Amino acid sequence: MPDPFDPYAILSYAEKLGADFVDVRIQRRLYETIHLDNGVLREYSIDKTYGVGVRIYLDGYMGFASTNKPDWESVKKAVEDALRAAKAMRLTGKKQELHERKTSKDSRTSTYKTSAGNVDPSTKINIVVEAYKRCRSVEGIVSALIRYGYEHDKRHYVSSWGDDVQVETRLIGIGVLAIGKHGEVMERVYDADSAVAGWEFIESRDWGIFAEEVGKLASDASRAPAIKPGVYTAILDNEMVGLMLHEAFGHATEADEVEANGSILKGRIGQQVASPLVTIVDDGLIEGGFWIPYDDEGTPKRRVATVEKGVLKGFLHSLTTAKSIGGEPTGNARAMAYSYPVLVRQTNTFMLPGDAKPEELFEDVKHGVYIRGRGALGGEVNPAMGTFTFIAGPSYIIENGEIKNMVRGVMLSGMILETLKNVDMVGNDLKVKTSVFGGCGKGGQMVRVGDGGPHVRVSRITIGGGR
Amino acid sequence: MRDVLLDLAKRFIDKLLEKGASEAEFFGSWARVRIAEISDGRIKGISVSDAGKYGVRIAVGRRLASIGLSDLSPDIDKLAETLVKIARNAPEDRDFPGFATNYSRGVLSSTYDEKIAELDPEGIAGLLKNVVETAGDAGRGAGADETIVTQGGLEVIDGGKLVVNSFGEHLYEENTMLSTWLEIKSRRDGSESTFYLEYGSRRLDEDEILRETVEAAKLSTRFVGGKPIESGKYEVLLHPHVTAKFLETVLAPAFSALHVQRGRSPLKDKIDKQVLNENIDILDDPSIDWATGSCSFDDEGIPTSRKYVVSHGVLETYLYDHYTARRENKYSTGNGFRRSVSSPPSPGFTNMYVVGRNTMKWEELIGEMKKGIIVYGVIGYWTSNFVNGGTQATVTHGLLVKDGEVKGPIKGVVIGGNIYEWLGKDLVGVGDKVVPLGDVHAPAMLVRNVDVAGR
Repeated sequence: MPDPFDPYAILSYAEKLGADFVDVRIQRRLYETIHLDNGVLREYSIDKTYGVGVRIYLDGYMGFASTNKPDWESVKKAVEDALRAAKAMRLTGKKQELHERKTSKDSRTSTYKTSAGNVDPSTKINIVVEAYKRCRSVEGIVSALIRYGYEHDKRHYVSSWGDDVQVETRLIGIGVLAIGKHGEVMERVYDADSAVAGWEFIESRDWGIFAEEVGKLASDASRAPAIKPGVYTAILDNEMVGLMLHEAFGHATEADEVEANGSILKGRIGQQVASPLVTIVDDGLIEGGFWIPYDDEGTPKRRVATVEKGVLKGFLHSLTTAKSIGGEPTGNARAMAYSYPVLVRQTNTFMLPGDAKPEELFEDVKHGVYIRGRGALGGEVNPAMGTFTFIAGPSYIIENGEIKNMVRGVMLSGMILETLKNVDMVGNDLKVKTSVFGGCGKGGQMVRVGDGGPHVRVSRITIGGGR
Repeated sequence: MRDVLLDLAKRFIDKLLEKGASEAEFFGSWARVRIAEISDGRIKGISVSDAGKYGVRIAVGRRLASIGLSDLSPDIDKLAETLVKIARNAPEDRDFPGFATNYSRGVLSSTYDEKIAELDPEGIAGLLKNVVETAGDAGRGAGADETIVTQGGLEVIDGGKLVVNSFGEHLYEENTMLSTWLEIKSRRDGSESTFYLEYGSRRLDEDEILRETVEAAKLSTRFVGGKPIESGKYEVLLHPHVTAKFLETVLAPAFSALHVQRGRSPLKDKIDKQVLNENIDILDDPSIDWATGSCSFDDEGIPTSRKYVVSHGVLETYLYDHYTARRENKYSTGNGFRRSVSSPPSPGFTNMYVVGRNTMKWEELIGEMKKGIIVYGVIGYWTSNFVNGGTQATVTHGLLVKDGEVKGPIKGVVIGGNIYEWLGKDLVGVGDKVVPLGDVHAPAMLVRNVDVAGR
């Protein structure tokens, strides 16, 4: 009886049953959470996942099955289920082919010095408790939650083409949610800082200062007015630019959206879709972002410029989309976990810096808004309708080139084919961020991503929001 | 799988007590999931998964720790030792009342459909094919040159949940779920528009799925050539699904006793006070047959019950789990649900059922509008803010209305305001049909004085 999660035994069994192509993904993941709510340790938990996913192509039809039952009978059943699923598509399904590429054989581990798994729980708790105290010491803070998160993810990919890729990643960070109250008005601000690293990242920062800063922002925001709805000139900081690009362009460049006829960018390669100042890159290895040397099809993650000087250059691909709509596999086939089939996903999306000093962007703005990413909640896009939206943290009115009062509840809205044409200045700075507490959701799957860019000025964008 | 989980629970609990835990609780769940997904009108793949997972929470005195696992042959001795060590290092939670006891079932409703459990990949593919073809026919019937389902899927699940405590109690329940989501795109005179269908139920009712598909396909033809509108104050008619999305994000969490006790709910100190328009009732209702939030006990074994949370706009009660209830010397309302198997329970609705006392038909609501927009689809609504009621979304699917007459589609619009004003002084009317979206059942709502950011 083989080891139930031996990928080669699984490959052999699937091939014996007649599969044309098989790939096997084995994942072992640990996620450690500490959650301190108003000074009370609400949760200290460790989640461990271990399982296998099998994808089979038979006559061009795809079937996928997964199990976490560590016995050979269950794993065999998963292989049979995947085959049966592929067969079930013969009447109704869509045939797919895989783009051939060079075989991948590699084993990679993200850089770290100290494994957080070896650090005593009480040390971790103390850091979280201290951050809480510092956050609550800020005047006007009525509630605060501090989170610590650590993810240790090991993925092993094996295919019937001979691929064998192992990737081991550590991601760690601390998040602070502060709620400020002024009179009857409450406002929340959440911010987190994460890195692909080990415990040394936690030791490198004073999290008390970080928590105090978030507290101060929440307290100030509870005193700030809501923004007046309308169309503004906006200067977006590094975090906001990343968020906007991820929503405004990133999703629409995912080739499975294009293949499905679900992206407004379909058929527009070579067209001017943004200002000539805009170059957008998807890169799995950029500093500050999440670390993805290979995707979940064993394809090396290439750095791809989807938009170059405002012109749409290409899409992000998996093996199947590269074959069906034309292109090279870019290493963007990703799955949330072993139990999900791959989708085309972004990795780290960012804009390349321009020439302007960030302060120069403000100089001739008569009336605008400085859109800040700290405390931003994220964004969403409808790639078929071409509408996107994203929500900033507490932001600031700009009058005659100067940053004035804070405003809260800032929601920006734009159209994919219009908004990035309104970029009229790009800063020379660059920052990219990722998070151990969240990521990007699509098709029921959440994957870690990063985003960022330089400071950017958009001459016209619609801004509204709650109050 | 029930027996596998129950056996693990007993072995874990025995070992934990032996290692020094004062008490323990075990929460397990399993699911057999089958999904078929569509790309450009054809099924692109079928996935099957079969997995069990479980969480164990322990207390050493009033010090707590938990672990979540999907490993069905764990090293119990080693894990129990780790867990007890973490708990011993944790700061004491002086409010910890012990884990919930007195397990029992509350309301019983229909939650398990054999037809879903028996649906195999061929059956799922056949059903989805029917849905896709129905969407195409309905769109063309509504005047589209072409209607296709660009992306979407159909998922069926059968599974169960188990709660066990170290006081010798356990409860187990099985249920089923079917959900489908479709992005339907229609083309007319060279222009395109879409509509997104979301549907979920605990039973397989093909007629109902096809009816929803037909409605969504018809709507997919209505948003071709959206135009910007001026910024200003508008009346806004929220489609029931849009109402549900806002309520789930900005209102539902405010009823959680945990948020109230932690000082981050605007409903704090508002029991017996008018918090919404007197036309509105809100119930926590686990008794609705086939509704996705229906269940007979919560995630800590406490019976669920049907109750008014808001009656005539007056706040009647918060929602409690065992922990928050004991802090106020009350009993849990049976609303303790877990974010993941290892998480502590938090208070939340089973099914949130929102209904008007005086209602109007959809056409009557439109007839009331002077200058307004009907909102059928939004993105970014989930950033609305429950700590202050701030409500916002970008409209992806909206129609302009002038003097009771529907004009054309709009684009590039953000709507914003505050949910307590929208459902309070600014509420004009409530629709007569209560429609489910996930665990929230809501009617259409017509609201005035909504901030609209447009051109």
